Amino acid sequence: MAKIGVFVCQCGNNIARTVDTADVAEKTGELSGVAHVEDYKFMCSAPGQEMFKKAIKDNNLDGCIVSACSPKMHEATFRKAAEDAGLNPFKVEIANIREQCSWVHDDKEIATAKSKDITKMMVNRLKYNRPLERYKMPVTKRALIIGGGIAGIQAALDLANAQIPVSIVEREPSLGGNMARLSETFPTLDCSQCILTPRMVEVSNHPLISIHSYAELEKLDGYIGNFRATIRLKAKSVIEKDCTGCGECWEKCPFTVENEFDMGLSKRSVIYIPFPQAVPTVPVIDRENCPKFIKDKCGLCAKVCGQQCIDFTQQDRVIEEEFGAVIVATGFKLMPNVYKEYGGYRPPHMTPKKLTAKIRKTLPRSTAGRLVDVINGLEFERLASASGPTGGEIRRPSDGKVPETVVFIACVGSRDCNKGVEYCSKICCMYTAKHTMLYQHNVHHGKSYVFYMDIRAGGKGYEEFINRAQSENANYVRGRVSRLSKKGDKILVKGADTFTGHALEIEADMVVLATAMVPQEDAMGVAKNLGISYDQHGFFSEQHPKLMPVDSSTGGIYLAGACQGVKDIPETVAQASAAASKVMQLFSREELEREPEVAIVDEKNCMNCWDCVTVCPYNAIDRTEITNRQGQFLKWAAKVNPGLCQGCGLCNTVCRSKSIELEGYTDQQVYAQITAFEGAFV
Amino acid sequence: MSKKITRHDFEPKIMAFVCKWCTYSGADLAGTSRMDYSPNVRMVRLPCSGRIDPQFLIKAFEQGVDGVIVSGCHPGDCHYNEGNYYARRRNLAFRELLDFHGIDLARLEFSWISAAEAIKWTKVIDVFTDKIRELGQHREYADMTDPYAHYLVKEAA
Amino acid sequence: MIEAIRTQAHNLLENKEIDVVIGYGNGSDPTRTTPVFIRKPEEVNRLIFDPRCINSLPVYLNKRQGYPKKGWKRVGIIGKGCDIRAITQLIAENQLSRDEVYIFGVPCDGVVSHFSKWDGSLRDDNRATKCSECDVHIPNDCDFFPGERPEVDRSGPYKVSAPQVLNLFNLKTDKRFKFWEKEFERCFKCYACREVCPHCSCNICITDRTTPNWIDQAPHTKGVFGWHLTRALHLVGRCTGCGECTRACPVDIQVDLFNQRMKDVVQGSFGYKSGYSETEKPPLITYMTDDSENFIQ
Repeated sequence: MAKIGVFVCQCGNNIARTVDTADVAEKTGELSGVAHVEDYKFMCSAPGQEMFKKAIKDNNLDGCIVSACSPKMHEATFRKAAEDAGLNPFKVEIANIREQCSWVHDDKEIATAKSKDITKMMVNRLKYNRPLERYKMPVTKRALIIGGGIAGIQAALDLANAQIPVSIVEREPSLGGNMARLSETFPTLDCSQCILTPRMVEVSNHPLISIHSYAELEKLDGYIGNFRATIRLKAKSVIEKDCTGCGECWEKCPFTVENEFDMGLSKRSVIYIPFPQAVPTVPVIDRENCPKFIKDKCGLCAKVCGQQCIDFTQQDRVIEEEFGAVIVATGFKLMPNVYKEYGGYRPPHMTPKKLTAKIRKTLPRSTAGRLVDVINGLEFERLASASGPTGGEIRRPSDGKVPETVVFIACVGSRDCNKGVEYCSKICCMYTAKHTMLYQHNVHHGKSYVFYMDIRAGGKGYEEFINRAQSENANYVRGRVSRLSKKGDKILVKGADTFTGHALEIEADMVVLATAMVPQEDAMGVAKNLGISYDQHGFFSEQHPKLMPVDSSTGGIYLAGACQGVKDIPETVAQASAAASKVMQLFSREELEREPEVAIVDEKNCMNCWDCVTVCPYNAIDRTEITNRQGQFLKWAAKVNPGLCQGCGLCNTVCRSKSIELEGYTDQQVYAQITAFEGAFV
Repeated sequence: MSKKITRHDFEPKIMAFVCKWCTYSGADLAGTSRMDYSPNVRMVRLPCSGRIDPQFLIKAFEQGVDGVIVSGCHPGDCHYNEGNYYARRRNLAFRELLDFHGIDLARLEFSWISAAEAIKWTKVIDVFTDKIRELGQHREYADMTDPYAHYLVKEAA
Repeated sequence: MIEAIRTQAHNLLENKEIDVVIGYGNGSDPTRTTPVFIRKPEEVNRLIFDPRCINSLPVYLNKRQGYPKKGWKRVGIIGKGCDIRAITQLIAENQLSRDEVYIFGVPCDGVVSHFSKWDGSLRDDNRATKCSECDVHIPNDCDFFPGERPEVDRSGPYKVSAPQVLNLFNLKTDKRFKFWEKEFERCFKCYACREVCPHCSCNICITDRTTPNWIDQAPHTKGVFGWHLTRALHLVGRCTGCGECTRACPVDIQVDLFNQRMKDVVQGSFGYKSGYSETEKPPLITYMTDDSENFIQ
């Protein structure tokens, strides 16, 4: 027979005003299994809790009901108190007679009756509460960072400086991400590479950070504190530890292809580093384009390499590493295909005629049948960058001429449900203003026009920056561009100024589109790989939009930077640091404690329909082989990973044979609650 | 608080199966805001509307309740991401089944109530209670006699 | 037709490609057939097929019924279109793997509603109701088919349910309740409907569980309601409509009416037809974000 203690709280007058607590206590005391009742003014007060503990010890109670406020208020308090008194905390239940009874009813008779009913239901339920132990799990104190852009770099440095070993997995041959492409950054106009590359060097020199560049995460198993990552290290064809980064190979390499880092505005050799300050400064051979791999010819790089570190036979390596937490910082890209709306497609490169030798080498854009001089923001960044294809001179891609008139179009693809994405890309207003300044600094006599919808400059020093751009340099035209067409070697921009109501035609030498930021193409694949959720655009979803902006939907995986939503650099860095501090918080404990209210399996009766495996939102259920003591296979059964289970109970509902149960909300407990219901009104 | 207390001849018994993240919190908010609503409802707190097994509802009806409320987070707001979508499907099918068994669907209410919708919660309860009061006792199930009832030993009180 | 199957079964049994053939043989009296298990090649002549072959044989492929029996590595089974749907559904529910079975598909014009109705010919008045709405007279999927198998388009919806379902559906709610109450008075919970069902696969049926006692074991009307509601609920989106539950019922309760009604619901609301795909998820373990919610406040 159960020995249950029932403690009815008066909550000062809050409950006692409409509920006759003494009557509730008396009636509840008559229920079978109830061994002790109390009616007290403030159960949650220190004396109340002392009384609670004393009653447990004195009466040797094996379960307690506190009829008081909502479990959200004091369930934890009383469970803690019970634990102190030597009672399993999960043998304590709260009957909510304040929020759901005394505060919402006036009639004392009815409220008292309802309180009795609520308490009785909980008493019945408590009889089937099992004593549960919290799961304790070890934590692997190493962090994995996916993406080596500014977010990944910041998070890695923060963690490593807190003595936490970090691995960065970067898909490209070098760290740096999109920020390395930028020329100067708003609103201070400091040089992007000047602030980024020291950080990259710091990362590469840090003893606790290991960089897996030219690598991709293939699989992530496990759960918070105990992840196992499978990482594919793509073959660089260069022996990394021997390479000194002298540059002989990429300078001598006779073959060139489009340079992705320069957005295709220049060419790079086939064995290459993406940009001069690359970290690590180890070249990779682009096997798709290298003649050595296509038709087994050339091999010049191997000949010129003084260190003998070119290895054409190198294979992809797959490594497995253990981590305790993951930070996802995969970044963004610019929306592709907007050129279709604004001037045609991009054909493969053709060498333009009548160019100076230098320009021909760097700006090989075709003029055939499309508007080559319509470029996007990142391309403009490369043109304006001192390390870019033109060495910082702004020249247009088609013929290398210095553009006299430039039109900037904001909100290309953004805030456009029909052709693009619904959201605002947030940074375009600012970088367009910056572009006008960069252009003006470069081409003093040039004219620039900005077509915009609104200016959104919420940020420290941002509005001032826009004001400066508007007053000093550019002509801001509020309105949208309807059409771009070719006129001679110029681009005819047709638009409207909605302030004056006039149609506007500008003959521009170059048009720069502030294209929408979108997630990386494979973001959804990454999300599925990691088991985190994403929104309709492919941005990773945070656990809570306000209160948990860096936690992903899966415990132990955190988000940083533009993979979670559009962001500028300061926000990205802030979120990366926040994610790093979340990881530190997680790693500050030796063991993780998890609530034991997870699903458990009755293996004998599991009938292998795997409905539970299908519905589990957390992939917490696996199939396992049940063997006898001799190790012979007996049958299959479902198996719950308590590290991943969040206790939603979907599996329990879909299981027809009822062989999987959610602890804390078992069928038996709910059954007891239902059958206790009498609805007895006086 | 000034609502006039009225007594009725018939007080329906109503059971609510609710998710603890949204509806239970919404009901708590109704309490914190001192809203007044009909006292006929008893709640069973579950982690998610996806945990609400139709078996519970069958048992509740067998137990002699006059109406059942099922409530959870709005679609897309589920704490567990997708529990309420499954709940919606399951309940759609279950309602059809109950209907085909000849049980009046007016006695089974399904609603989405978020943690902020205390007013909606009180409205749902009040409207549903009035509706059930009009329908009267759930006689169909209640009248089904248990020929073995007198063999059962009553639990000693 | 049966000759071709016998020859094929003989060959396969002789080559040990299959260990047993589950089929139909003549029963104890001329109107009856009985399931037969042919293990020896020389016994294949016991196999028959005609409109008396009512039984749904996939029930013998259900683990709860002791499948696989000792020495059964691969099982040959004679399948009418509807039976093959049941097999497909079993595969979809991971109760069976496709390579464990060798399906002899048979073209079927329908079977009689009951053995007692058989007088040598199949007519509209003695045909089983499930056969009038059948779209798998030529089976979906089989390893062997006597003769050339014509292509049949099965993309269309099910045909509407049997008239009884509609009649019942059109009744007023309380009338419907009265109807079932009257029917269920006869039920004494022999669980024949469960035993004969190819899809009831639980080791311990929920009605046999006493902790918690979701369904009252006693055969009074309340417990009977609970049982039939639960049974129908567990078969939502899984029942392939073989109608065996009704046929097996010793007191002639038309329990498959629930299943037929739910078949319509599942088809109408979720666009799902059970027993046509081994990979499609059954409707209650998946969802669409835009499912109907007109019943929700």
